[in-house]
Amino acid sequence: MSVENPIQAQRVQSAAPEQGVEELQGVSKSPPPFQLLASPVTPAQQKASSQIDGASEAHDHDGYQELNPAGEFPWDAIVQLGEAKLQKNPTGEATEVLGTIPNGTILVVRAERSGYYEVSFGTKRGFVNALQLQKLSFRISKNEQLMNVMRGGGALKRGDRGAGVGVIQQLLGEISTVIMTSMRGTNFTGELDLKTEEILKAIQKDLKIPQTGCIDQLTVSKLNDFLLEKGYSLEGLELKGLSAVPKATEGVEYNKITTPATLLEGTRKISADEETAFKSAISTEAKAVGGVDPTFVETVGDVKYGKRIEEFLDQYIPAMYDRMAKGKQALRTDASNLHDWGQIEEVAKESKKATDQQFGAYRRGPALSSVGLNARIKDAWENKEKELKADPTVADGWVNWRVQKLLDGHAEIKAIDQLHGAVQSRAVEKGIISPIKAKMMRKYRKELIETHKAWPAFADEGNVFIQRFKEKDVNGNDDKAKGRDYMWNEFRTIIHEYIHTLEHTEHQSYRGGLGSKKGGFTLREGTTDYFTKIAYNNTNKADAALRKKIEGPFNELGIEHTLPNLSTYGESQNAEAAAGVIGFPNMCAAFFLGRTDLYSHS
Amino acid sequence: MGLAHPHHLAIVILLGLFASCRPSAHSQEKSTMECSNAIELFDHQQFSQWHGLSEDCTPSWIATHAGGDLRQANTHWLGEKKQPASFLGLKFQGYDEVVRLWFRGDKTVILEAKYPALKDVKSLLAHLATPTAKLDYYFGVVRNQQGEYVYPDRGITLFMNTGRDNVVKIWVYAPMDLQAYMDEIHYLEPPREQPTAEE
Repeated sequence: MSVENPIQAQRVQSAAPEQGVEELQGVSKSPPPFQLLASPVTPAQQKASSQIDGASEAHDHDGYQELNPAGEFPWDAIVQLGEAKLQKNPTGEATEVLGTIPNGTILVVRAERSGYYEVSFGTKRGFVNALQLQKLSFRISKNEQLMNVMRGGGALKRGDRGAGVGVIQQLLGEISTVIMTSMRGTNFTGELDLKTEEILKAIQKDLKIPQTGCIDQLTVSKLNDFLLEKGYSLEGLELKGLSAVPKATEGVEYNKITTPATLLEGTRKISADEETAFKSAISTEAKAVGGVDPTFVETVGDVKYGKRIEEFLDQYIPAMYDRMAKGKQALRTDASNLHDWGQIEEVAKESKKATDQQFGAYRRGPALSSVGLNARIKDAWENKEKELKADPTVADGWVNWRVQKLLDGHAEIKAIDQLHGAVQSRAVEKGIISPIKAKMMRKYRKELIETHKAWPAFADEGNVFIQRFKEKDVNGNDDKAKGRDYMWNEFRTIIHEYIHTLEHTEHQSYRGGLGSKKGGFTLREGTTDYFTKIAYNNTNKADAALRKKIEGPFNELGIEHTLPNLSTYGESQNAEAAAGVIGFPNMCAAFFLGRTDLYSHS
Repeated sequence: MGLAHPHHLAIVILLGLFASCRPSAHSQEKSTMECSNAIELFDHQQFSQWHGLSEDCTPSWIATHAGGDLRQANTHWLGEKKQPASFLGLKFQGYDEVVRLWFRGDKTVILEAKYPALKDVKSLLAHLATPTAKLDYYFGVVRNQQGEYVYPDRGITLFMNTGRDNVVKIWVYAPMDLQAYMDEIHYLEPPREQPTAEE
């Protein structure tokens, strides 16, 4: 059985609004009538995968199973070892095969189940044997030149130029500081010149692969593995030699005069080509294929565009309500159903420590507090209730917001848009969408209001709002595994929010003037989330003392517990790709020290 | 003994100069009174008589008055120019919610009270007359169009509910022109919802 579109990797960026995510999408090799989105996850699949990936079933065993890093989805992967079967179920036993995926296809992996990865291919969702997919670093997967090499499109050799060469040069420079000190001083020319060739040969020797001096498939693959093996420790301060630098004074940002020179080590002036590549990396603007808007095809495979959209919303909205909001109102009547502010305060302290460990030389601030007059961590549900009390008509806006957000940014809606070549802002598509939206708002008004109140977390005017609901086990007791998940999620959330407070004012002004989709959102949320991953993943989560502090009353030593998956802004991938272009030291110096000149060649 | 020595004379002249540079005891007292009066009006929600925070109603004065500590302040930003500003939570008698003091250095930017429960909104609106500007603001995720009633010359802004019969937030500040208000204070930013695994 074949699927509709053989896929060739192509980067297509989302037209979603503020929280829009960037996806790596598969498109037809021939000029496609539309593009196909990879791997949205249905509520049912989400439920199923969370049971496997999450902690809910893992705490029955002895010993920690998988502590560091926690699962992080989505990520990019390339099909290797020949064609891959797209199966209906994650099993080696007889199961329906939905199609075959060609070697070299780029996919987005959304979840893992029993040795299989959940992906989408064309309009079908299914599972691929994990052995057939190679995980890709975002530095590699977001670069077309390198992905062409990975797909077997030919090696880059002496004299070749391009953003991919630049990314490799940047990486060689960083690797050189780790494994081959004598190789520092890479030229960041964007051209595979003699010096780059020499360094490549030396690295290839170290990696025990043929010393071709070219950027070939095997070399990119090995460098990719090196990046993934290092996780985010490559960017950690320990390797950059900054651990010895005194921590910045709390609450004070450095300026151009007071910045210690040590903090600028490893930064460099970028070239005009690199600036262009950097701007492209941080941009989240929709880019139509060939610069032409897609042609809208209302009926695909005998199913109309509107029907697909309506069916999805009709299924998704009540399922979202069930997962997030059902029964929550009743829980508010008893304070014992809510997580304790004191424990959240402890988590916030650990979030600050983990962040300062990585970035404290650049800047430090007061920990976000959850208690007292200056609490910045607040109760999301309570906040929404107050809004509703002050202005009951605000509920209309909530209902509109929840449906519009799905239409703007949900992966499944984007997949449908891609499938039909739809651009929702155009008159024809708008004419189809508007009545569906109105119908959904009427039909699920109550559910949408409650879902909005129960939304897990948001930030507003310098405050962080979180939900405090505890989850119960079948006996009505606090579910300890879910309690642990909650605390680790808060740990990550508060790291993210704390990093926001460390952003240099010059950087705020710079990205504020960029425009959201031209990189403003990436430099705000994407970079913050990228740094969050670095702080989170470089925390030793196997440390029993730390686990006790974070998990508090839910800590059970000796009980196996898999940490919850990270949910990240798609734009963190853009930020990571941007670091691959200009270097991690430049990213840090710009964000924490206000050295935004390091984003530019002039 | 006279002050015949030239050095002594110089000292006297310098003292005189310093003295002339200092505010008089009277004017200092007046400033404090103005600030004190303003804070009293704020505390009692008597905004129909409001004419702005006085210039020397400093962050430290307000913090001390409300029993706060400026060292506990956090940082965010305000204004269309997105200039950084510190904020401190304070407890004022007349408000259930924590009042935020926003400041930049030694200059108070705004005092912000959420859900002020004003007794007679209609009368207050009549007293303040036509706003200089009606701007958009975000009430949670909902953009309230032209619900931010700005009276910059009186140093007060009312954030009206959709029905325009209730005030959901109030800002008071030193009188200024509208442009300065837009640049330094006006805030139009929706909340950031964190992504969930299912998005």
